[in-house]
Amino acid sequence: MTNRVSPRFVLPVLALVLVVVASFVPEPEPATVDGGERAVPVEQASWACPTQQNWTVMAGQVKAGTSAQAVTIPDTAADLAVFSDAASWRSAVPGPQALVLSQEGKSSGPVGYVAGRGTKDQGEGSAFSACPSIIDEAWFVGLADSDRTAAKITLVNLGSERAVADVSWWGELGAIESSDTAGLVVEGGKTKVVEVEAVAAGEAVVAVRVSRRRGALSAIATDAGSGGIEVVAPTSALAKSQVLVGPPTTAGARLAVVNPSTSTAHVKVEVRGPAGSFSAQGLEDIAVPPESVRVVAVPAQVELAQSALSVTSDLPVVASLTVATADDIATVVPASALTGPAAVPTELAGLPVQLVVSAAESAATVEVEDFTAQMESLGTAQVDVAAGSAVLAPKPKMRDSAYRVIRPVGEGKVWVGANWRDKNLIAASVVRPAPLTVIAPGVSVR
Amino acid sequence: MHADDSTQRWRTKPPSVVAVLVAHRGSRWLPQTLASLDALSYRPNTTVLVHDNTDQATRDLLAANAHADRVVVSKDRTGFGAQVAHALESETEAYDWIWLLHDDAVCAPDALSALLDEATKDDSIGIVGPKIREWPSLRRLLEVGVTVTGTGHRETGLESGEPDAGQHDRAQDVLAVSTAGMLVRRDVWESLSGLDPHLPLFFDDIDFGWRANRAGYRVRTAPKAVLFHAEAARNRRRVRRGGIVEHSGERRAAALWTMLANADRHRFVLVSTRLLFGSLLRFVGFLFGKDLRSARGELVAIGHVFGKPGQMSRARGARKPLLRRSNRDLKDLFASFWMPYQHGLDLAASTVQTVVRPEEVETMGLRTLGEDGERDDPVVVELPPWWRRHPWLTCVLGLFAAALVAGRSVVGSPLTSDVLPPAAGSISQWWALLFERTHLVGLGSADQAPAYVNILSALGVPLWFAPGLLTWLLIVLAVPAAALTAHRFGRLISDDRGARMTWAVSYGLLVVVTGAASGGYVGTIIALVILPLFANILLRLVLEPTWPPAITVGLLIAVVAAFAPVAWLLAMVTLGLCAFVARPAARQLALSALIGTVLLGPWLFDRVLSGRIWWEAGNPVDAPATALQVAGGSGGVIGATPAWIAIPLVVLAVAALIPPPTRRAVTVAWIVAVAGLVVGLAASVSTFTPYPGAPAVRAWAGLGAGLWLAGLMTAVLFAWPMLRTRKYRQWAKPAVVMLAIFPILAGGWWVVRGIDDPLQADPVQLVPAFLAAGNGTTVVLTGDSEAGIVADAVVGSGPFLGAEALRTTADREERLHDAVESLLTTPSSDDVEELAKLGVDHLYAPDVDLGLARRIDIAPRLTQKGSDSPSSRVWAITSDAEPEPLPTAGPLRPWISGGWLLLWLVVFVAALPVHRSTEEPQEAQEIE
Repeated sequence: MTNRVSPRFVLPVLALVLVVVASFVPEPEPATVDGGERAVPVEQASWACPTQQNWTVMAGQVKAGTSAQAVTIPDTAADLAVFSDAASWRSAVPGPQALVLSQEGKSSGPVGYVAGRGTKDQGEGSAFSACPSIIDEAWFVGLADSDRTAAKITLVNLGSERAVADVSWWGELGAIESSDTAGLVVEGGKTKVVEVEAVAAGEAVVAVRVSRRRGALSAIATDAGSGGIEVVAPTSALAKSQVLVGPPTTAGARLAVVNPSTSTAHVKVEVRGPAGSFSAQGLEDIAVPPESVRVVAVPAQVELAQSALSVTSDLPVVASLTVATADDIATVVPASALTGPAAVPTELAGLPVQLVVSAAESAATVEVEDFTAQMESLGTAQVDVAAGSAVLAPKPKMRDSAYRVIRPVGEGKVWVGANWRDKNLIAASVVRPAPLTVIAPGVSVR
Repeated sequence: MHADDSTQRWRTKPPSVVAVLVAHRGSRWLPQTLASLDALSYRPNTTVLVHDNTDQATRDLLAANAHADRVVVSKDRTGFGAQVAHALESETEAYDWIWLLHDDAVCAPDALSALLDEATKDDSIGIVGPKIREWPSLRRLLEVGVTVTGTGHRETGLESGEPDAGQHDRAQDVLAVSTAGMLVRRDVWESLSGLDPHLPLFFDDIDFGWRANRAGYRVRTAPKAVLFHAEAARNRRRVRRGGIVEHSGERRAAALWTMLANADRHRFVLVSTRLLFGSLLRFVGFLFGKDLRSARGELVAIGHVFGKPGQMSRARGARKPLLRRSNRDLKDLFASFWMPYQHGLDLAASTVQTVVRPEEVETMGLRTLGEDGERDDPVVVELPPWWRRHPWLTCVLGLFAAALVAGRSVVGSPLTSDVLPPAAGSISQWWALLFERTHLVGLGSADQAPAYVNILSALGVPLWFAPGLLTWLLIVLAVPAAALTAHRFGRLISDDRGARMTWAVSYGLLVVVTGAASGGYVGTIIALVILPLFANILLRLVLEPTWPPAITVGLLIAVVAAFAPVAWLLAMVTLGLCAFVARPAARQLALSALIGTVLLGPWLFDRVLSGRIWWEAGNPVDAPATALQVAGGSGGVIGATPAWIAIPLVVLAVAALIPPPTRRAVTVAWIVAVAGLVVGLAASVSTFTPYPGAPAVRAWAGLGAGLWLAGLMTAVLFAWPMLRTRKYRQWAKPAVVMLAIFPILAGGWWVVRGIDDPLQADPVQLVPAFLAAGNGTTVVLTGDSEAGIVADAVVGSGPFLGAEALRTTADREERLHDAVESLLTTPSSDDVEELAKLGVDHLYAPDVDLGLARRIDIAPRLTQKGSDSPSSRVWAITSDAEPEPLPTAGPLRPWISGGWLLLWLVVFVAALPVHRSTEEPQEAQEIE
């Protein structure tokens, strides 16, 4: 018997070999559009600020835009011409209820801030916040805590078409049913205000999620009561890890966490200070029951002022930190890591806005550049942040500075928060990257 | 008895009859003809023999005839009627009846007496004709009276080759009788002025009978009078030289002349129009049949009749005073209106029979007629049932029935699938796709239509208002169609009927096994149906290199490659190998390659040479298939059979390599199989990008898988005869069982599962119904942010088959790309305005990525509308921007398309079998 294959069977053997070889050819990658995701420059961006009487809205950008247009809601006779200059840092007092600014220009990165004092029933505290752009989802946590009964959500329609949103609620005892806030319609160019008290009367604390169904909609919360007022910028999504940067004080600190999932979330808080990070006593394991909000008072001995809180959880949650003085409150919401330049005003009411910069596992560096209102550079300072720490950025040295641009340098991740203090008046704002680019999916047409 | 009375009457006072026999080069038949006259039981009073003095033999025979009263030499180049008239002018004796005779017709002894029996029955009878049988067979009937159809065809009312069994032996009124043996009363002849001199050769008898009828005389048949006619002129046995000769188109011209000259006044225009268009249609038909001589004759006939209105007017004027009856009064004497169509059906039936080529069992007892001339009754022998006598026909009918059962879920509607777009709403849409300069497809296109639209446009013409039937027939009847072509090829390569039929059926089922039928892969279906034809003609071409099959091979390559471009590459390789092996056929094979390439036109660059060779007709759809599936003959799609079905076939094919006597042929089949396997496996690991930037899709492996199994089963067919040898006889039973497994399982799968899913009878809904009805342009957004978004612009309900391959200009594509990208990132009114300028009315996301939908929602002037499902979104564009003009091709586009189509037509006509008219004019015969 021979092992040689008879010539007559060469073809079947060849066929067999072909099949075997083809079986080992790897499967092609899943079909994707040629090019895939890529960053494209933002040509046009809008943001909306809630306003009250005598509140100041500040508008700026990291690069001069080509044009800008501001409108108030409702349409008032306020002189908004100043906002048309897309090549300067400008501010004005537009009046109630909201101001919407649209700016064009390739990667100009328009940003807006609002600042002002609350009314008497709002405790006459101070408010300071970045103005949000159009949201897909917006979370507000810790509203109405400590008897702040004047809390409200303001929905702003930035476009001309009708917008629709669903607003969901959670309290300490679980989800709050509210059919009235599902499918809320906001007509084009209008606002809609949802009073927290009207939906969740009696709730000690609430968390709110605004989900945009359609239309160009923005949402921002105003948390107010006899203890003070704060404008709370939205948090875009649940996360297992988030960083709350820059509480202006340690006093009266209360951490609120919402867990919308159906399991108990275990939250751990770490404080990053100038000397490094440490676990906050009493905050090592906060159990947040399912579908509910939990508020934890931060022990007074935990030094939080000008620090950052790293909040990690086994389930996606949203956290916020509220600090309080005798006359005012300030709320710190999760910041997003800076992936590009961000701009913040240099001062409010003659007092500087302080910037707190935090780094995570690795050291990081940011450049802080001061600009005049006409966007002329006044100098740059470099801020180095050790791993797991938070430091205060140096104050601007030049009196002409109108705004500061913070740019991350290198690979290290940094988070930035802004706060302001005038004796017992305190305020804080999240600092988020200016919208220069946006990730676009690959698109193919035929 | 009346007949007896009549007979008595004329016999008591016999009428005088003058017989006129006209001869032209008839020496071959004249001796018997003249002898038959001598043998008549009742002979004419006078016999006048006329000839045109064109050959010595005829002249001598006539002169030597002892019973001829007179031999007359007619004037040169005169027709039959003129010759008779000339003979009668020379007749001095009184006579009552004229009996016209041909030189190639033999009379039965009692022919004249029988004619007189009938002629004298009634005074109204003016003309009587005999029953004419074929000479020399003597049994086949040729004529028992003639009439004419509405299209101008001489109609005898007899079936071709119908034997005379007495079935027409009843005398009756007819429109006309042949001049061979015609007995006409003298006064009738004179009042009608004899035969029309305009009709020297043809239709003179019909015209004469028609005129007699309209003048109030009756024309009768006398079946008891029998004449045996050689029809020497028609059968091309008479060599015409000198005298009057037939010119091109003369027969048709005579028909047209007769029809128009005898038409009723009020119907003259209608009849003229019908005949004119009918003649033009015949002209086209002759061109298709490459019978250029007949085509020319048709044109000559048209010119001769319609180009001389004065002559026609005079002819009608001459007939007018004699008219006593209208054609309506004679309606019973004309052929039924159905008769021309009956002939068409007969032709179609014979064509089908040629295609099917029924397998018939040999029997000893077919229905026969007595051939000894003595038995009048047919002899009927016991026969097996028809389905046993025609096993292949039975099998084909079974396949058709099974096809209808398998297609039960897709009855009555145009077929669609992810791959197969719906057929055009009407054929005009396909034709428009060829000739229009702007296609209302997507964002508007100025592209040249795909090559297969040429074919669809032509094939769809008979189905003008239901072109969906074309794809329906193609897919539902794919199995019997492929089996038919395979069987035809099978007869060339195998003598074993049972194995051949099993092979053909198994081959037909490949369209099911691969999943091509249920997936709507028309390219693969067409390739598998045509492949046996291709192999058949290619084999003949290689064995006997001639040009016509070379053209046919080229045409078949182009047809298949138009639908399945990869076939072009396979065909070129095949032709190259054949040219290498069969050097004498190299030039013909080169022509085939040239035709198969040139016919594809721009399609060659667009699809074949552009890296998209795997993309068959239809939408490019991801078609994953594993190597094992391909080895099992499956294309890997839903509806394909499990791969293990092919195991018995593979085992048999391997075993087929064992017997040495058939190994060479089996090896060739194996090479084809392995080539198919290579193609299938290459497709299974290949991807292609249908258009720039689009997601790559995995190629369809079904065609290669089908070729693989086709090669294997052919290898088995080649080796099958070995099972009858002593050495391998012991394996016959297991082999039969294994051979039967494949068609049984595949056929069972086909019939039980059906061919639907993913194929369906409802259109694939690309956009919601309200958008489809609006007929606007909708950009359909599919995909997600990770895989990317495909923006597909569709008009109305989406593109039909053929339009799916058209694209808009690069500039408009780029603008749409930028607008959509911006809309999905930083939407603004500019994006919406850009879409409006591009003519987009709506955006539709059938399975929306919520994140992206929220971004789109932001755009101003984009109003969300109700959609057809919770997971989909529709946005209406409310911009005031005016749509820009659509891209338009250059003014030469229709001409280029026309030229391309003409090229296809020319090649098609050249590839058709050559048709030679049986009625060739005399000039051709004179060459000999």
